[in-house]
Amino acid sequence: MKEVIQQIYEKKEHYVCRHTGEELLLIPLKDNVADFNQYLTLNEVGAFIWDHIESGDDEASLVAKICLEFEADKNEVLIDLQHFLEKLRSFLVIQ
Amino acid sequence: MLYSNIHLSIADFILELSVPSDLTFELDGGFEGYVMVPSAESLVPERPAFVEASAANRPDLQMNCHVGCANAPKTWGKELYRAANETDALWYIYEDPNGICLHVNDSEELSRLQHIAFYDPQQQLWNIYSDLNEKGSLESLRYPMLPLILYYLSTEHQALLIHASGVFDGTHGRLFSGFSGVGKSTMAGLWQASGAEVINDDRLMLRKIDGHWWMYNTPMYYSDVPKKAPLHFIYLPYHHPTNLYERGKGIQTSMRFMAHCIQHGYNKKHVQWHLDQVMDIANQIPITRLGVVPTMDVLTFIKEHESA
Repeated sequence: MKEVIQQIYEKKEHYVCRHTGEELLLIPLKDNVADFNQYLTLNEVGAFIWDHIESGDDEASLVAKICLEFEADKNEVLIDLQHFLEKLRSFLVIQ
Repeated sequence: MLYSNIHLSIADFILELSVPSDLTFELDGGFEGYVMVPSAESLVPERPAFVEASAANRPDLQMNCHVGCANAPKTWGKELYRAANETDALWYIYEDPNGICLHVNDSEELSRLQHIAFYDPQQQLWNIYSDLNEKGSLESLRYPMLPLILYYLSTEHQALLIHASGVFDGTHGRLFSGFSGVGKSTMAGLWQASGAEVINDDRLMLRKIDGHWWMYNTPMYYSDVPKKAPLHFIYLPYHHPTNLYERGKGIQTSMRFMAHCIQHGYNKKHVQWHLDQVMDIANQIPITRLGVVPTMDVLTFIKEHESA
């Protein structure tokens, strides 16, 4: 999973981001062109993860960050985080 | 060499051109209405709008116009972006120590270099080197140079360039945006037939001034005078068997609108900046998808829904 997190981290620079309320809008830059038809919106927790992913993070460090921000059970957070990261990577890889 | 100044007012921006005095300097017919002041000396007294445009009493943008692409400094670096089809490019953007360098080709003969232009955003200064045109005149803003300059202005101010038509009926300003063929010009024509003023039927500059968004025309290939109108409604028209009014909500609508804004995606900061402007517009102005049957009835249909 650490590899997935690193892949997401490396993809971040290819996205333009904007917070709209509690959501985060991600627009991919492909071949030097912003693609407004392939945007993604993340909810509050997804936006938090996107904003706080750093190089070298692993599941444990991300769970710790999330639990520090949101009141949640660590085990539930871990399961949700794994699903989220896989889905996010799939989206980013396709772009 | 002696230089003289020409001032243009475009979308309430003041552009100051410094041009060689011993040459014929050409602004084509599309610029006629935009030339404001013949000399720098008379600028402030004759132009109250100038003071409004720039609190520092300076032009918003300065352009030094030079003769000959061959005389341009060879300081540019790696290519950042090009506007190209499979075989040719209309223009290229290169890195430059002080900003960017543009190589702009003749739009009617793409193999012919027309301008080499340097932009220093810190000084808001363009240096434009141009080969003389077929009439032996210096034509530093010849298409597509001016739209490129306006684009960079839109990355530094609360402004956007957009493919859209705009009309003003004396009360409300309406914008119709979309890709080619959706009916932008048709809608402008219908409103014009009903007595409304057409700001432009193809390209607009939007600016936020004192908290409100305005739409402006910019010089085109045909003669026109500067026009502006407050912006109250944005429509994304499409052909449909019946008139249909679908008020948009949320990010999807904003993205549909943004897709019609003129962008050079090579610069993430520019995209971010324009995204911020679009979201601001979407927060202030209703954006509506509009199924259109192109008859005068659609105007009544629109007004009824606006007031509902």
